Amino acid sequence: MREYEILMIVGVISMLVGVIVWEIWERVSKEKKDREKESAYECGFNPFMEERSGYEIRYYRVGIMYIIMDVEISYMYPWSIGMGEIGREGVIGGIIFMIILGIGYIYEWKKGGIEWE
Amino acid sequence: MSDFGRGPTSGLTGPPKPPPHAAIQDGPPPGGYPPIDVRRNLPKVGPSGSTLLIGVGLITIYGFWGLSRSAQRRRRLNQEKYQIRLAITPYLQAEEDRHTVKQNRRRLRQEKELMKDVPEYQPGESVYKTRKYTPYVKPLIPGVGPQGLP
Amino acid sequence: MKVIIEGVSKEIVMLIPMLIGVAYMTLGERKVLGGMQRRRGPNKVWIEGVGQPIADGIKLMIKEGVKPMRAEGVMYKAGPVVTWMLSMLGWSVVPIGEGEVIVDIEVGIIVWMSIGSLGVYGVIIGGWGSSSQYSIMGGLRSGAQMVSYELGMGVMMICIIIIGGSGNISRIVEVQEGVWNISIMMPVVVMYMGVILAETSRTPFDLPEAEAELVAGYNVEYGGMGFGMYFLAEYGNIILMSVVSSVIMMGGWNSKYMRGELVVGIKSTIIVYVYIWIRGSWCRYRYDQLMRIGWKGVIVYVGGYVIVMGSIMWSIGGVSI
Repeated sequence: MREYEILMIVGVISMLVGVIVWEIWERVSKEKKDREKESAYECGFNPFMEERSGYEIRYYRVGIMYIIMDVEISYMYPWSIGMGEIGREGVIGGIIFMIILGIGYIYEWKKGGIEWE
Repeated sequence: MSDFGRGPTSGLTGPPKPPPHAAIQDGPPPGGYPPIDVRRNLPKVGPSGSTLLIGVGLITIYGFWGLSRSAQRRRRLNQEKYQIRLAITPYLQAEEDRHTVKQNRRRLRQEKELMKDVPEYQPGESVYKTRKYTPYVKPLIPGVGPQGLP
Repeated sequence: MKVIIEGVSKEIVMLIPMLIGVAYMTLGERKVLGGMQRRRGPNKVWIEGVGQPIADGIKLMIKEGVKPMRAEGVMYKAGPVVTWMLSMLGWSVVPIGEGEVIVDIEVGIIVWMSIGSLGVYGVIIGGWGSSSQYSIMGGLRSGAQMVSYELGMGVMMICIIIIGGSGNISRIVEVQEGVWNISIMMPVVVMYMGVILAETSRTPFDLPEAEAELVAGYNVEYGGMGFGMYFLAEYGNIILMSVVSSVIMMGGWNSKYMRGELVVGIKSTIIVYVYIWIRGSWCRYRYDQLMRIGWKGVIVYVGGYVIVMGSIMWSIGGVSI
């Protein structure tokens, strides 16, 4: 438990260092307000459309695929630690799990779920 | 494109004369051009594919062989530690028993001293109903195990 | 209280060398790239440009901050801060010598992986919070790339854990006293290199900063120290990834002749040099190629190798640390 407390303290201090650097920078560098300077970046003209007016569905699809696969991969970690202790049944069970996962992956591949056309 | 009218002319000699020979036209050589070589001309760098495959296979086999050797060595060391501990266990247990007896006597003496004013008090009497003697046994191999946990 | 003092002192001991290392890695990168193009690189500030990183830092610090009008205050600020924090937090579970680690836990490699996964948040928050079409697009692209290659990294780490028999990075190094893990991982080692390049968004997978399609990716609206924090975090991640690779793949501190920390340092420097070398000589992949390599190449092959490796490790009876 002590180790995790140290981990948390390290995280808090890292964040504090980041916030302090940002705040010092905001104090040190005075911003001269100007309307054109503060507008969003564009190549010399006003933006044609609203920002955040929508994004492609492909990113969403990649996100969903990532969630599915990542959960499955995190199920594999406990299996992978004790390769000398779990015996034949354990190893074969893990391989069967991976084969089922592979069947699902092939299905998504054939359905075009992971294409980036 | 012909050579007609392209020669060195000067305005003083009147209009340019036609060349003495017939006009020659650019064209394909008789029999046509040879087929163009459109292959990419990449230099051959590095070992070939089969060499790489065999090399990678050999390195992998060497890796697994070395890993199994070091695992066997580590297993032998662990076993040796286990055997040593097993051999000296009776002596350790005897030390432990002697210590326990000594502590029990001391405790009894102190209890007698402390409770001498209280009548009908039996020093050394257990507060539990159990009559069986259960010695305190330390774990056999501290720090040696498959995970190395104490 | 003792815990707090210990945490703070360890953090300081970790933070200052890391910042110096990052600063001088930028100088080293420019020098090496210059050498590869027959230039001299930065050589004006002080002796042969030794003062260049400090001058760059001061310049970033006093540069005028232009905050876009429509940016969302907290999220605009949180992007660089989160990225910076995760970049420093990742160092806490990585040992650089025997017993020289801030937190020595049994799930070290998984904690390191999860901190790396959280790095996506910094990028997407920054891109979303600065309210520009280009930054949102860049943040999404960068997020999708990091997420895709996170899976490949996860499967690689399953291989590493199978070899090591433990999630503790120090134990993984102890196992490598005979042979390095790189020889066992040889069939997938090229993919490993590609995955660590894509995780840190470097050439040839530096799609997030594709100047041709997007102006500068997710950090287009950041100037001054906001950009500087993204920049430092990115280079810190590169050095961290090199150290982790040298520890889990290239034998770590197992050496008979030199001090262990020195060995880890030399190996990490070689990997950092390879990063810069690849940047100097390769061009960028297209985005669909990137996705194809990630989803149809790395995950499938390395997943197959997990099955092979699990069977072989079972047949030799584990590593029994």
